[in-house]
Amino acid sequence: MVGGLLSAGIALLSFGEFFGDMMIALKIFVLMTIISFVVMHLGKGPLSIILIIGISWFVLFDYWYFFGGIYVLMMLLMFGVAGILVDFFFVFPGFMGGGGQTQEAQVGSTGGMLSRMHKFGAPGTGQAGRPRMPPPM
Amino acid sequence: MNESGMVQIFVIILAVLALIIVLPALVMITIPAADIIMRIILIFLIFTTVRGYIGNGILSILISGVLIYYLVIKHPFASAIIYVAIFFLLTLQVFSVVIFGIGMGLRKF
Repeated sequence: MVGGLLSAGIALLSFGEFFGDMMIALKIFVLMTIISFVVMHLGKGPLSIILIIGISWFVLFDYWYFFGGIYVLMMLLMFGVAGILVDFFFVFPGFMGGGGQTQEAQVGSTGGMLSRMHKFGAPGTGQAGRPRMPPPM
Repeated sequence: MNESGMVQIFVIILAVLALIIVLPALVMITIPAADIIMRIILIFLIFTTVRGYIGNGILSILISGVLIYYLVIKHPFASAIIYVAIFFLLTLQVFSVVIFGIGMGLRKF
């Protein structure tokens, strides 16, 4: 019992240390981003130094838990996490279920347009004015 | 939703993605040479990134040293995981390939 609690406490402490170290590294990266942004827009001068100090104080100390999360989110989005989420939650289930479309829709670049044109009798497909064809198998 | 085994395939995909993410740390633990090589790559990456942000100078070397201490010396496995998962695989869209490959491969079963 005591050993388990001790090991859990050690694990929590080591996780806290890891979390703190990663937070320091993240703050350094945010500070470099701020420096780069201000210097790129204003150059090196007294005004840019004052702005760097002010923005850094505001971002790194006053509202860090807001801006830290936003920075991590921005980095992840910049590296293309949104594409992964879209693939995982939207595109892949559509492929799995077939989406009520045909094999052409699943493998073709037209997204089943030809089968839909046949289905709804679009002009140019030779089906206009005719009774609707049964859905393609 | 689970009529076609979607939940199981989602779980398999998540497990494979987790394995891919943890793989650099496993390789670093099992192969000491890979550990050293990965640390060197991380040092190069950190110094290049810092130099790209604030240019050449003493400040750049100082910040690089702090980051190298925290990321390479103190927590090398976590840094390797973050580097490989985010900078390498995510940039090259490998995860999309994995998701589609597993999904389309398991679809026939």
